[in-house]
Amino acid sequence: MNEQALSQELHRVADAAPVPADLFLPGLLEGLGARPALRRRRSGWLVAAAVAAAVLLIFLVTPPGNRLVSAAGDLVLRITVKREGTDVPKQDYAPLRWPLAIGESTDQVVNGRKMVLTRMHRQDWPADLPLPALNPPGDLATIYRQQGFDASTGKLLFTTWEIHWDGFQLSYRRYPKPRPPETMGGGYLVVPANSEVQEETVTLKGQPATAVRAGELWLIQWQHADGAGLISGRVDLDILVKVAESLPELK
Amino acid sequence: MATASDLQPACGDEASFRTLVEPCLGPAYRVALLILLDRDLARDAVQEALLRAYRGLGKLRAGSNFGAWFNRLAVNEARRLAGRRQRQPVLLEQLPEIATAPWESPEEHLLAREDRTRLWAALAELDELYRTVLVLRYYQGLTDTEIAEALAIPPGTVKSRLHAARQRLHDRLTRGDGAMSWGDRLRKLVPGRVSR
Repeated sequence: MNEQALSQELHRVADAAPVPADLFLPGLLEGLGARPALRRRRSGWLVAAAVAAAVLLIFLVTPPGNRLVSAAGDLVLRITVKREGTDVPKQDYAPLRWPLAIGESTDQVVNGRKMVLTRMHRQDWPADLPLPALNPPGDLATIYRQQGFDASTGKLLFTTWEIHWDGFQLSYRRYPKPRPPETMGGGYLVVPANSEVQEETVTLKGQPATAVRAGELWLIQWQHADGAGLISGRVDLDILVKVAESLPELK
Repeated sequence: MATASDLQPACGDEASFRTLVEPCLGPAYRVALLILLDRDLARDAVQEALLRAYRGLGKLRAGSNFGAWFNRLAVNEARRLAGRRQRQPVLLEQLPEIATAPWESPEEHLLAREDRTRLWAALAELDELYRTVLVLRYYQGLTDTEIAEALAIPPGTVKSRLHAARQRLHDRLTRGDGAMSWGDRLRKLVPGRVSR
Protein backbone atom coordinates (compact mmCIF):
# COMPACT_ATOMS: atom_id res chain seq x y z
CA MET A 1 0.00 0.00 0.00
CA ASN A 2 1.48 3.34 -0.97
CA GLU A 3 -0.36 4.95 1.96
CA GLN A 4 1.70 2.82 4.30
CA ALA A 5 4.90 4.07 2.72
CA LEU A 6 3.76 7.65 3.10
CA SER A 7 2.89 7.00 6.72
CA GLN A 8 6.32 5.50 7.38
CA GLU A 9 8.10 8.43 5.80
CA LEU A 10 6.08 10.96 7.81
CA HIS A 11 6.90 9.04 11.00
CA ARG A 12 10.55 8.71 10.06
CA VAL A 13 10.98 12.45 9.76
CA ALA A 14 8.61 13.71 12.45
CA ASP A 15 9.59 11.17 15.09
CA ALA A 16 13.27 11.92 14.55
CA ALA A 17 12.73 15.67 14.97
CA PRO A 18 13.94 16.87 18.35
CA VAL A 19 11.20 18.49 20.40
CA PRO A 20 12.38 21.86 21.77
CA ALA A 21 12.91 21.73 25.50
CA ASP A 22 11.50 25.21 26.03
CA LEU A 23 8.03 24.75 24.55
CA PHE A 24 6.58 25.49 27.95
CA LEU A 25 8.33 28.76 28.69
CA PRO A 26 8.55 29.67 32.34
CA GLY A 27 6.16 32.53 32.79
CA LEU A 28 4.52 31.86 29.43
CA LEU A 29 1.15 31.91 31.09
CA GLU A 30 2.05 34.69 33.45
CA GLY A 31 -0.73 37.19 33.41
CA LEU A 32 -3.42 34.72 32.45
CA GLY A 33 -4.12 33.49 35.93
CA ALA A 34 -6.17 35.52 38.31
CA ARG A 35 -4.27 37.45 40.95
CA PRO A 36 -6.80 40.15 41.70
CA ALA A 37 -4.75 41.76 44.44
CA LEU A 38 -2.06 42.70 42.02
CA ARG A 39 -3.60 42.99 38.60
CA ARG A 40 -6.68 42.43 36.57
CA ARG A 41 -7.15 39.44 34.33
CA ARG A 42 -5.66 40.00 30.92
CA SER A 43 -4.73 38.00 27.86
CA GLY A 44 -1.13 36.82 27.76
CA TRP A 45 0.99 37.60 24.76
CA LEU A 46 -1.34 40.24 23.43
CA VAL A 47 -0.76 42.24 26.55
CA ALA A 48 2.93 41.51 26.50
CA ALA A 49 3.12 42.71 22.92
CA ALA A 50 1.13 45.80 23.81
CA VAL A 51 3.54 46.60 26.62
CA ALA A 52 6.47 46.15 24.29
CA ALA A 53 4.78 48.38 21.73
CA ALA A 54 4.18 51.09 24.30
CA VAL A 55 7.84 51.10 25.24
CA LEU A 56 8.80 51.08 21.60
CA LEU A 57 6.60 54.04 20.93
CA ILE A 58 7.62 56.12 23.82
CA PHE A 59 11.22 56.05 22.73
CA LEU A 60 10.60 56.56 19.06
CA VAL A 61 10.52 60.31 19.12
CA THR A 62 12.50 62.23 21.65
CA PRO A 63 12.43 65.89 20.66
CA PRO A 64 14.23 68.45 22.80
CA GLY A 65 12.30 71.06 24.70
CA ASN A 66 10.07 68.56 26.36
CA ARG A 67 11.85 68.03 29.60
CA LEU A 68 10.51 68.75 33.03
CA VAL A 69 13.24 70.68 34.85
CA SER A 70 13.52 69.82 38.49
CA ALA A 71 15.31 71.72 41.22
CA ALA A 72 18.14 69.22 41.10
CA GLY A 73 18.55 69.25 37.34
CA ASP A 74 17.16 67.51 34.33
CA LEU A 75 16.47 64.23 35.98
CA VAL A 76 12.92 63.80 34.96
CA LEU A 77 11.44 63.59 31.51
CA ARG A 78 8.00 64.66 30.57
CA ILE A 79 5.89 62.21 28.65
CA THR A 80 3.66 63.80 26.05
CA VAL A 81 0.67 61.83 24.92
CA LYS A 82 -0.16 61.88 21.23
CA ARG A 83 -3.24 60.28 19.80
CA GLU A 84 -3.20 58.30 16.62
CA GLY A 85 -5.26 59.87 13.88
CA THR A 86 -5.38 63.20 15.70
CA ASP A 87 -1.88 64.26 16.77
CA VAL A 88 0.07 61.78 14.65
CA PRO A 89 -0.81 59.66 11.62
CA LYS A 90 -2.14 56.20 12.32
CA GLN A 91 0.79 53.88 12.93
CA ASP A 92 1.25 50.78 10.87
CA TYR A 93 3.22 48.13 12.69
CA ALA A 94 4.14 44.69 11.53
CA PRO A 95 3.24 42.11 14.18
CA LEU A 96 6.06 41.01 16.45
CA ARG A 97 6.74 37.33 16.89
CA TRP A 98 5.66 36.48 20.39
CA PRO A 99 6.45 34.82 22.69
CA LEU A 100 10.16 34.38 22.06
CA ALA A 101 12.34 31.56 23.29
CA ILE A 102 15.66 32.49 24.85
CA GLY A 103 18.02 33.53 22.10
CA GLU A 104 15.28 34.17 19.55
CA SER A 105 14.72 37.54 17.89
CA THR A 106 11.91 39.36 16.18
CA ASP A 107 12.09 42.63 14.31
CA GLN A 108 10.01 45.32 12.70
CA VAL A 109 10.69 48.55 10.84
CA VAL A 110 8.94 51.61 12.17
CA ASN A 111 9.49 55.16 10.94
CA GLY A 112 12.76 54.24 9.26
CA ARG A 113 14.11 52.42 12.28
CA LYS A 114 14.63 48.69 12.43
CA MET A 115 13.82 47.45 15.91
CA VAL A 116 15.26 44.06 16.82
CA LEU A 117 13.93 42.45 19.99
CA THR A 118 15.85 39.46 21.37
CA ARG A 119 15.02 37.38 24.41
CA MET A 120 18.18 37.07 26.49
CA HIS A 121 19.50 34.91 29.27
CA ARG A 122 19.10 36.35 32.73
CA GLN A 123 22.88 36.44 33.19
CA ASP A 124 23.19 38.73 30.16
CA TRP A 125 21.63 41.66 32.06
CA PRO A 126 24.29 44.41 32.32
CA ALA A 127 25.87 44.37 35.76
CA ASP A 128 25.71 48.14 36.13
CA LEU A 129 21.95 48.46 35.59
CA PRO A 130 19.80 48.22 38.71
CA LEU A 131 17.30 45.42 39.04
CA PRO A 132 14.13 45.47 41.10
CA ALA A 133 13.78 43.28 44.16
CA LEU A 134 11.84 40.35 42.73
CA ASN A 135 9.52 38.26 44.82
CA PRO A 136 9.97 35.40 44.22
CA PRO A 137 13.43 36.36 43.04
CA GLY A 138 14.16 35.80 39.45
CA ASP A 139 12.55 32.74 38.02
CA LEU A 140 9.55 34.30 36.34
CA ALA A 141 11.43 37.32 35.06
CA THR A 142 12.19 37.48 31.36
CA ILE A 143 14.92 39.61 29.85
CA TYR A 144 14.85 41.28 26.46
CA ARG A 145 17.32 43.39 24.55
CA GLN A 146 15.95 45.75 21.99
CA GLN A 147 18.28 47.35 19.48
CA GLY A 148 17.28 50.17 17.19
CA PHE A 149 19.07 50.61 13.89
CA ASP A 150 18.82 53.18 11.15
CA ALA A 151 17.02 51.06 8.57
CA SER A 152 18.91 52.59 5.66
CA THR A 153 22.46 52.68 7.03
CA GLY A 154 22.33 49.86 9.59
CA LYS A 155 23.86 52.15 12.20
CA LEU A 156 23.07 51.24 15.81
CA LEU A 157 21.04 54.05 17.36
CA PHE A 158 20.35 52.67 20.83
CA THR A 159 20.15 49.56 22.95
CA THR A 160 17.36 48.98 25.43
CA TRP A 161 17.43 46.36 28.17
CA GLU A 162 14.06 45.22 29.47
CA ILE A 163 13.03 43.00 32.31
CA HIS A 164 9.44 41.78 32.56
CA TRP A 165 8.16 40.27 35.77
CA ASP A 166 4.79 39.71 37.34
CA GLY A 167 3.02 42.28 35.21
CA PHE A 168 5.75 44.92 35.50
CA GLN A 169 8.24 46.02 32.93
CA LEU A 170 11.42 47.97 33.54
CA SER A 171 13.64 49.14 30.75
CA TYR A 172 16.81 51.13 30.33
CA ARG A 173 17.81 52.70 27.09
CA ARG A 174 21.41 53.50 26.26
CA TYR A 175 22.72 55.56 23.41
CA PRO A 176 26.11 55.42 21.75
CA LYS A 177 28.57 57.88 23.26
CA PRO A 178 28.64 60.79 22.89
CA ARG A 179 24.91 60.81 23.50
CA PRO A 180 23.11 62.51 20.60
CA PRO A 181 21.53 65.78 21.79
CA GLU A 182 18.21 64.96 20.16
CA THR A 183 17.76 62.11 22.63
CA MET A 184 17.90 64.37 25.67
CA GLY A 185 14.29 65.46 25.63
CA GLY A 186 11.19 63.76 26.85
CA GLY A 187 9.31 61.12 24.96
CA TYR A 188 6.04 60.83 23.17
CA LEU A 189 3.60 58.12 24.02
CA VAL A 190 1.42 57.36 21.00
CA VAL A 191 -1.91 55.86 21.95
CA PRO A 192 -4.94 54.79 19.93
CA ALA A 193 -7.42 57.58 19.33
CA ASN A 194 -10.01 56.29 21.77
CA SER A 195 -7.62 55.38 24.61
CA GLU A 196 -8.39 56.64 28.05
CA VAL A 197 -5.34 58.59 29.23
CA GLN A 198 -4.52 60.10 32.61
CA GLU A 199 -1.47 62.12 33.68
CA GLU A 200 -0.21 62.50 37.22
CA THR A 201 2.83 64.03 38.84
CA VAL A 202 4.54 61.73 41.32
CA THR A 203 7.64 61.99 43.46
CA LEU A 204 10.34 59.53 42.54
CA LYS A 205 13.52 59.52 44.60
CA GLY A 206 12.69 63.02 45.76
CA GLN A 207 12.15 64.31 42.24
CA PRO A 208 8.88 65.08 40.48
CA ALA A 209 8.15 62.70 37.65
CA THR A 210 5.39 62.51 35.11
CA ALA A 211 3.37 59.37 35.10
CA VAL A 212 0.98 58.53 32.30
CA ARG A 213 -1.76 55.95 32.31
CA ALA A 214 -2.88 54.52 28.98
CA GLY A 215 -5.68 52.04 29.48
CA GLU A 216 -4.65 49.86 32.40
CA LEU A 217 -0.95 50.59 31.97
CA TRP A 218 0.91 53.16 34.03
CA LEU A 219 4.30 54.42 32.80
CA ILE A 220 6.94 56.52 34.51
CA GLN A 221 10.06 57.64 32.68
CA TRP A 222 13.24 59.24 33.89
CA GLN A 223 16.66 60.06 32.57
CA HIS A 224 20.03 58.71 33.61
CA ALA A 225 23.57 59.59 32.71
CA ASP A 226 23.73 57.90 29.33
CA GLY A 227 20.15 57.07 28.55
CA ALA A 228 16.62 56.90 29.85
CA GLY A 229 14.71 54.62 32.18
CA LEU A 230 11.10 53.59 31.99
CA ILE A 231 8.99 51.53 34.30
CA SER A 232 5.49 50.38 33.59
CA GLY A 233 2.96 48.09 35.15
CA ARG A 234 -0.70 47.22 35.10
CA VAL A 235 -1.09 48.14 38.73
CA ASP A 236 -2.19 51.11 40.77
CA LEU A 237 0.17 54.04 40.41
CA ASP A 238 1.23 54.01 44.06
CA ILE A 239 2.38 50.40 43.69
CA LEU A 240 4.38 51.27 40.59
CA VAL A 241 6.03 54.18 42.38
CA LYS A 242 6.98 51.88 45.26
CA VAL A 243 8.57 49.43 42.86
CA ALA A 244 10.47 52.24 41.15
CA GLU A 245 11.57 53.59 44.53
CA SER A 246 12.91 50.17 45.45
CA LEU A 247 15.43 50.29 42.62
CA PRO A 248 19.02 50.76 43.72
CA GLU A 249 20.54 54.04 42.63
CA LEU A 250 22.13 54.08 39.22
CA LYS A 251 25.88 53.86 39.39
CA MET B 1 -4.72 10.11 29.06
CA ALA B 2 -5.88 13.09 31.04
CA THR B 3 -9.58 13.88 31.01
CA ALA B 4 -11.56 16.92 32.03
CA SER B 5 -11.92 15.48 35.52
CA ASP B 6 -8.18 16.16 35.94
CA LEU B 7 -8.54 19.71 34.83
CA GLN B 8 -9.91 21.51 37.81
CA PRO B 9 -6.62 21.80 39.69
CA ALA B 10 -4.97 23.14 36.57
CA CYS B 11 -7.26 26.16 36.27
CA GLY B 12 -5.31 29.20 37.41
CA ASP B 13 -2.30 27.15 38.47
CA GLU B 14 0.62 27.10 36.02
CA ALA B 15 2.40 24.17 37.69
CA SER B 16 -0.67 21.91 37.60
CA PHE B 17 -1.42 22.95 34.06
CA ARG B 18 2.12 22.13 33.04
CA THR B 19 1.81 18.63 34.51
CA LEU B 20 -1.36 18.11 32.56
CA VAL B 21 -0.18 19.46 29.24
CA GLU B 22 3.44 18.37 29.14
CA PRO B 23 2.79 14.86 27.71
CA CYS B 24 0.86 16.48 24.86
CA LEU B 25 3.60 18.91 23.81
CA GLY B 26 5.81 16.52 21.84
CA PRO B 27 3.00 15.00 19.74
CA ALA B 28 1.50 18.45 19.15
CA TYR B 29 4.87 19.85 18.09
CA ARG B 30 5.43 17.01 15.64
CA VAL B 31 2.05 17.31 13.96
CA ALA B 32 2.51 21.09 13.73
CA LEU B 33 5.94 20.49 12.24
CA LEU B 34 4.50 18.29 9.51
CA ILE B 35 1.78 20.79 8.68
CA LEU B 36 4.07 23.80 8.70
CA LEU B 37 7.36 22.14 7.64
CA ASP B 38 9.10 24.77 9.74
CA ARG B 39 10.47 24.20 13.22
CA ASP B 40 10.22 27.80 14.40
CA LEU B 41 6.61 28.11 13.29
CA ALA B 42 5.77 24.72 14.80
CA ARG B 43 7.06 25.97 18.13
CA ASP B 44 4.95 29.10 17.81
CA ALA B 45 1.89 27.01 17.02
CA VAL B 46 2.33 24.88 20.13
CA GLN B 47 2.88 27.90 22.33
CA GLU B 48 -0.23 29.55 20.96
CA ALA B 49 -2.13 26.33 21.57
CA LEU B 50 -0.84 26.39 25.15
CA LEU B 51 -2.26 29.82 25.73
CA ARG B 52 -5.59 28.87 24.20
CA ALA B 53 -5.73 25.67 26.21
CA TYR B 54 -5.08 27.54 29.44
CA ARG B 55 -7.78 30.05 28.66
CA GLY B 56 -10.27 27.45 27.46
CA LEU B 57 -9.86 24.81 30.17
CA GLY B 58 -13.00 25.89 31.93
CA LYS B 59 -15.09 25.30 28.79
CA LEU B 60 -13.97 21.70 28.33
CA ARG B 61 -16.72 19.24 29.13
CA ALA B 62 -16.24 16.71 31.92
CA GLY B 63 -14.88 13.44 30.54
CA SER B 64 -13.43 15.10 27.45
CA ASN B 65 -10.10 13.83 26.19
CA PHE B 66 -7.64 16.60 26.98
CA GLY B 67 -4.96 15.22 24.64
CA ALA B 68 -7.29 15.13 21.64
CA TRP B 69 -8.55 18.61 22.47
CA PHE B 70 -5.02 19.99 22.75
CA ASN B 71 -4.09 18.28 19.48
CA ARG B 72 -7.01 20.04 17.79
CA LEU B 73 -5.82 23.38 19.16
CA ALA B 74 -2.30 22.77 17.87
CA VAL B 75 -3.54 21.68 14.43
CA ASN B 76 -5.72 24.75 14.13
CA GLU B 77 -2.93 27.06 15.26
CA ALA B 78 -0.58 25.44 12.75
CA ARG B 79 -3.14 25.98 9.99
CA ARG B 80 -3.63 29.59 11.04
CA LEU B 81 0.13 30.23 11.00
CA ALA B 82 0.44 28.44 7.65
CA GLY B 83 -2.04 30.89 6.20
CA ARG B 84 -0.08 33.87 7.49
CA ARG B 85 3.47 32.76 6.82
CA GLN B 86 5.62 34.80 4.54
CA ARG B 87 8.52 32.42 4.00
CA GLN B 88 8.66 29.08 2.29
CA PRO B 89 8.72 25.81 4.28
CA VAL B 90 12.26 25.13 5.43
CA LEU B 91 12.06 21.53 6.63
CA LEU B 92 13.65 20.33 3.41
CA GLU B 93 16.94 21.73 4.64
CA GLN B 94 16.51 19.90 7.93
CA LEU B 95 15.59 16.38 6.80
CA PRO B 96 17.39 13.78 8.89
CA GLU B 97 19.98 11.70 7.11
CA ILE B 98 18.77 8.22 6.21
CA ALA B 99 20.72 5.21 7.34
CA THR B 100 21.72 2.95 4.50
CA ALA B 101 19.80 -0.31 4.49
CA PRO B 102 22.11 -3.35 4.36
CA TRP B 103 20.69 -4.38 0.99
CA GLU B 104 21.16 -0.97 -0.59
CA SER B 105 24.08 -0.14 -2.82
CA PRO B 106 25.44 3.42 -2.52
CA GLU B 107 23.66 4.21 -5.78
CA GLU B 108 20.36 2.91 -4.43
CA HIS B 109 20.87 4.89 -1.25
CA LEU B 110 21.43 8.04 -3.25
CA LEU B 111 18.33 7.38 -5.33
CA ALA B 112 16.24 6.80 -2.21
CA ARG B 113 17.53 10.04 -0.76
CA GLU B 114 16.66 11.93 -3.92
CA ASP B 115 13.20 10.37 -3.91
CA ARG B 116 12.65 11.37 -0.32
CA THR B 117 13.72 14.90 -1.08
CA ARG B 118 11.32 14.90 -4.00
CA LEU B 119 8.48 13.62 -1.81
CA TRP B 120 9.05 16.33 0.78
CA ALA B 121 9.26 18.96 -1.93
CA ALA B 122 5.92 17.69 -3.25
CA LEU B 123 4.41 17.82 0.24
CA ALA B 124 5.73 21.35 0.69
CA GLU B 125 4.09 22.41 -2.56
CA LEU B 126 0.70 21.15 -1.43
CA ASP B 127 -1.75 23.65 -0.07
CA GLU B 128 -1.84 23.49 3.73
CA LEU B 129 -5.47 22.37 3.40
CA TYR B 130 -4.40 19.14 1.75
CA ARG B 131 -1.16 18.62 3.70
CA THR B 132 -3.12 18.80 6.95
CA VAL B 133 -5.52 15.97 6.05
CA LEU B 134 -2.62 13.82 4.86
CA VAL B 135 -0.79 14.40 8.15
CA LEU B 136 -3.86 13.65 10.24
CA ARG B 137 -4.57 10.45 8.32
CA TYR B 138 -1.10 9.08 7.58
CA TYR B 139 0.86 10.39 10.56
CA GLN B 140 -1.71 10.48 13.32
CA GLY B 141 -3.82 7.64 11.90
CA LEU B 142 -7.10 9.45 12.51
CA THR B 143 -10.34 8.19 11.00
CA ASP B 144 -12.51 10.33 8.73
CA THR B 145 -14.77 11.11 11.69
CA GLU B 146 -11.84 12.12 13.91
CA ILE B 147 -10.37 14.31 11.18
CA ALA B 148 -13.78 15.88 10.68
CA GLU B 149 -13.95 16.71 14.40
CA ALA B 150 -10.41 18.07 14.46
CA LEU B 151 -10.99 20.35 11.50
CA ALA B 152 -14.67 21.10 12.20
CA ILE B 153 -15.74 19.98 8.74
CA PRO B 154 -18.26 17.30 7.62
CA PRO B 155 -16.92 13.73 7.15
CA GLY B 156 -17.88 13.88 3.49
CA THR B 157 -15.58 16.86 3.04
CA VAL B 158 -12.78 14.89 4.68
CA LYS B 159 -13.19 12.12 2.10
CA SER B 160 -13.15 14.48 -0.85
CA ARG B 161 -10.25 16.48 0.59
CA LEU B 162 -8.20 13.33 1.18
CA HIS B 163 -8.90 12.17 -2.36
CA ALA B 164 -7.86 15.53 -3.76
CA ALA B 165 -4.74 15.59 -1.57
CA ARG B 166 -3.61 12.16 -2.78
CA GLN B 167 -4.27 13.16 -6.37
CA ARG B 168 -2.29 16.37 -6.05
CA LEU B 169 0.59 14.59 -4.39
CA HIS B 170 0.52 12.01 -7.16
CA ASP B 171 0.58 14.73 -9.80
CA ARG B 172 3.59 16.38 -8.24
CA LEU B 173 5.51 13.17 -7.77
CA THR B 174 4.98 12.00 -11.32
CA ARG B 175 5.46 15.36 -12.98
CA GLY B 176 8.06 14.83 -15.72
CA ASP B 177 8.44 11.20 -14.70
CA GLY B 178 5.36 9.52 -16.03
CA ALA B 179 6.80 6.02 -16.00
CA MET B 180 6.83 5.68 -12.22
CA SER B 181 3.65 5.79 -10.17
CA TRP B 182 3.67 7.60 -6.83
CA GLY B 183 3.14 4.25 -5.18
CA ASP B 184 6.25 2.84 -6.82
CA ARG B 185 8.18 5.95 -5.89
CA LEU B 186 7.04 5.68 -2.29
CA ARG B 187 7.84 1.99 -2.20
CA LYS B 188 11.41 2.86 -3.10
CA LEU B 189 11.60 4.97 0.02
CA VAL B 190 11.00 2.07 2.38
CA PRO B 191 12.33 -0.99 0.56
CA GLY B 192 11.32 -4.35 1.95
CA ARG B 193 8.71 -2.93 4.28
CA VAL B 194 5.96 -2.13 1.83
CA SER B 195 3.43 -4.81 1.01
CA ARG B 196 2.56 -5.00 -2.63
